Amino acid sequence: MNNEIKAPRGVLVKSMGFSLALALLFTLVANLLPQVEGEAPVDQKVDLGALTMESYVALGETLFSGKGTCSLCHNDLGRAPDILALNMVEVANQHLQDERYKGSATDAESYLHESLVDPGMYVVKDYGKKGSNDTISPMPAVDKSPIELSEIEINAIIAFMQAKDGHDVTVSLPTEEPVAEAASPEVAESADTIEAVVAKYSCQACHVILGSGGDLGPALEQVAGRFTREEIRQGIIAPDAVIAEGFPPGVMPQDLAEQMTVKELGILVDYLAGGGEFSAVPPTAKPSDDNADSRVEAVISNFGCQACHVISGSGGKLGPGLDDIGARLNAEQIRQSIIDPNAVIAKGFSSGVMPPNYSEQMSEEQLDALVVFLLERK
Amino acid sequence: MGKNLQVWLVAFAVVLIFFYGLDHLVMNMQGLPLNIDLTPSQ
Amino acid sequence: MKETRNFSSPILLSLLMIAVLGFLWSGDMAPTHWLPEAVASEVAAEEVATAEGADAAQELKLRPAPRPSREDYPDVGTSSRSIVWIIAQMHLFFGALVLAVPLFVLVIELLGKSTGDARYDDMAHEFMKISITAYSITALFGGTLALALFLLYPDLMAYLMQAFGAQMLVYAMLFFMESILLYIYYYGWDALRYGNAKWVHISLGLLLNGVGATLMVMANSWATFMMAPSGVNEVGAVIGNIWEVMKGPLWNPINLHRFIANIAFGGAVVGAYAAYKCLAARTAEDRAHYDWMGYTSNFIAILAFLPLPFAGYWLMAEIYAYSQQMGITAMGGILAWLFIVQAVLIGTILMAGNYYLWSGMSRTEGSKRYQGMIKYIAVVLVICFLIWVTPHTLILTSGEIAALGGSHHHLLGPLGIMPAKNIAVNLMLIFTFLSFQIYRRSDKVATVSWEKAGNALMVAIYVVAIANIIFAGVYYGYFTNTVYKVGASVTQVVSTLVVIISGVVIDAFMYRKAKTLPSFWGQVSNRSQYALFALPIAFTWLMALMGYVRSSVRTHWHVYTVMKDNSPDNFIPTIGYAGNMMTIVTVMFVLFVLFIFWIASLSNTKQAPPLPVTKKAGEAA
Repeated sequence: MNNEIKAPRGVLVKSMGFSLALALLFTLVANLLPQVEGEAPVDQKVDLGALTMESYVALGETLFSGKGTCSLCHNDLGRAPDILALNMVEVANQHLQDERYKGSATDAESYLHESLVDPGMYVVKDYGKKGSNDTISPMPAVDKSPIELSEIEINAIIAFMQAKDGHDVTVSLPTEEPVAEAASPEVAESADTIEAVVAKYSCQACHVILGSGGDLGPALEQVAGRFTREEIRQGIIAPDAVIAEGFPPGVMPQDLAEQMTVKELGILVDYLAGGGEFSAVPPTAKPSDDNADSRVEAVISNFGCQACHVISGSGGKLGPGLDDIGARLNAEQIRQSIIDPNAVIAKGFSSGVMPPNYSEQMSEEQLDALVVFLLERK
Repeated sequence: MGKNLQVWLVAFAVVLIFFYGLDHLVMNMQGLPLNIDLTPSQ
Repeated sequence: MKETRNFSSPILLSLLMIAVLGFLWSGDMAPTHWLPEAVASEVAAEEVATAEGADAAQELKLRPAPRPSREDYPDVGTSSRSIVWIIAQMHLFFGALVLAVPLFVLVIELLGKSTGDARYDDMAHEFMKISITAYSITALFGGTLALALFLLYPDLMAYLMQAFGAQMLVYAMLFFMESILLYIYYYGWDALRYGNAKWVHISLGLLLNGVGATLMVMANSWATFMMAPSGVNEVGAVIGNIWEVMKGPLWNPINLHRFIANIAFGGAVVGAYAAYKCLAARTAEDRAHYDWMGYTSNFIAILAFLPLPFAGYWLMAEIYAYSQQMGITAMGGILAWLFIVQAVLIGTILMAGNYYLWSGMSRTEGSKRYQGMIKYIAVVLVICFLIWVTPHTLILTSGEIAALGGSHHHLLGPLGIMPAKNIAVNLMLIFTFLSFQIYRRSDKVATVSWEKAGNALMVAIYVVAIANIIFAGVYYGYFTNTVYKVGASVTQVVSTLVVIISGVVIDAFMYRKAKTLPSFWGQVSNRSQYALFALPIAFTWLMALMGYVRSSVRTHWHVYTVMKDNSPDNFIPTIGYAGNMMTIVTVMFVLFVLFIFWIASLSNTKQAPPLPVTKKAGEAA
């Protein structure tokens, strides 16, 4: 106690003041930096009806840097191939030729799709997982957690990758709620004979195929001699690219490629490229059996109404949507419009598109069922 | 005088060799072999 | 009286926790919004498909993670995240302190036992006094945190209960044991001070630390499960046993990182206590004692701090290995700017630590030999620091890119990328170690015959290691491919470690039986003590920051890839907002620590007994 020294005054205030000042300095640094908020991805409801190819590509671009988190790695920092700087369609075609390619894609679009959902099929040199000698891709599958892109979103990104370098966009616009489509097993089931494929997609509504059909589109029995396989495939996927003489463009559904499974497309192309040979099954037998079915769902599907009309929330845009038709027309008008479609044409739609011969193809029961069904659509 | 210099030279030589070996060892352990002049051999 | 009250609160709380957890666990709480049965059993069927004829009972057990919608989160009128953020951070600060202090107290106690120097034992006892009050506060915040989480995030907690189950009960029981051991260890100090009894006491300390470390790794597993879930399938249904759930890919890296960081943090906090006592000392003895205590604390903090970047490196590497996306979210995405703040904080810590060492050299005459080096060390530290804070490659908005004239600054760009920063960080660590080494040498004169050779070797190691770090950074960083660039950073780290280890080893041998020059404890500038305040502030802020980064890399997931965060707070806030939160928790922590210091000094304060005076108080004045 004899060594008393004078303690400095206000030690508490000074030390507290010093500590506080330092903490505030750190806060200042944090507040001087750019202030960015990272939004959690919001599941955007894409209005499929209003979607144009342009906005679809734009959606892909948004997804590329947003929900897809692609730009985290695919940028100019060398973490992953710089997609924005590369011509992805050319790159895809090169990779398809590479002997290291392990996947099953056949063209640029299917390659790009595969590279998104199964990135390990082709690992670009020097970008493999460290120590794997470029056999394992560090990229997560984008349709799985944590990214979880839907099929529509994946296709939007493919559309973006195709469009950014001026290539034709081969993915087709989505027309149906993808969830509903994927969830219902009936639709997902792949047809496995040419008859089933033709029936499923109602080709005969417009084309003569398997010996019968409409005359809205060119007959398909003789295409083998005039077109290559690739041209036939193109004609189905992007029907408006080349239009046969004498037929109007814009009539054939644009989304067949979207709806068809790869297998179905293959069957169809094989059949058409093979010269349109009749298969062992008599061509008329099956459709007529089906035609006898008067359940309205069967009628709608057999006559391919949804190729042009939206019914029960899904279908094409060529004709007017029919989900509110009961509010607009009475039973007689509806019946009239089916039997003689060109008598009255809804505003904004062209005449001559809808086959005028349904009265010949449908039974009276089928027609009644359809009218009653449509009348209830309000 | 000469002794002092010798000590320094030996010390530096030993440490240089040590670190040279260390670089090879550490990079090799990560699967990144080096050439004799320390350039990447992949 | 006061101390017995301290006793009761944590014990009561842990009993309460056991009761609550037990109730929740046995109640098999079934939230209303699990996935539809069909999906769940489909997943279940998939999982057990391999097991022939799997019984239905097992199928039922597989329940996917809940998917709460926004309405399922209770709305308390203010951000639930902020509430949990603050409470969790306070719990973590005090938890770290309480786990770390007994660790180095035990080491100091052993040191006292082996040297027979009573000063060590007294100091260790005084450190424990701080820890014991902190423990009550830890328990209080822990209980509050559990309550807040169960109230504000019921679905997440239900899911975690499902995943961890009985492990949480074990945790609560260990917490109970920790309380008992801690109190016996502290209050039994003087009762078990000498002879064989001391060994009993030391064994108790060992047991205490064992239980503490177990508690920490168990709690860590909850955090790492949320970052990188293991033992569950892709929809979050638990398919592994508790060990598989705990032992995720990030568990051990986090364990090591937190273990080391706790020691550094604990050392820094008790250092502030010593600095305060030193400044406020009324006698030269007190000042000398607390100067020495502050020096020891700083020694602990800096020594634990030096290997910390390497543990962090391991953790980050494991995060990249687990999910490259997660790694890039942390280092190159929206959180990347935070590493600028981190650089400022670590720079502050290193500068303060170095400044304290340089000031401390005035305690001895022998330091004159090394005084000249200080200014060079300072220059290198400042240059490295500036390189380090140069902004890194970032995801920029188009406006920011326009303002910068490109995604990199044309002059600073090359300095802003990783190789330059790696060089800077490693050099800062090496030069801090150099400060440390010359400080340690300043009061000693070596007597061994090979002193010259030893010094030559040491100098050579410094020079060659620095050259190697610069070479590896520049050559592999700028002139080879990415893989070699990343690989070379390991070479740099190893070079730094070689310097540190060889420095410790060479000095240990060279200064055996060295002549010791007199040191005058207390003979140090008052200003140097403020460095001891800067350390805990920067450490606390840094802990808040890095904890925030660790937690935020999950982005909009409660449990990454398995359970989405649909709460209103599922976005990453701005850096400013996060920074304000960090300052709030730091200031709160400082206030609570002040309270602890006050309590600790209160127990030493004795009121003079009232004199049997006959005069009235008024007359005395």
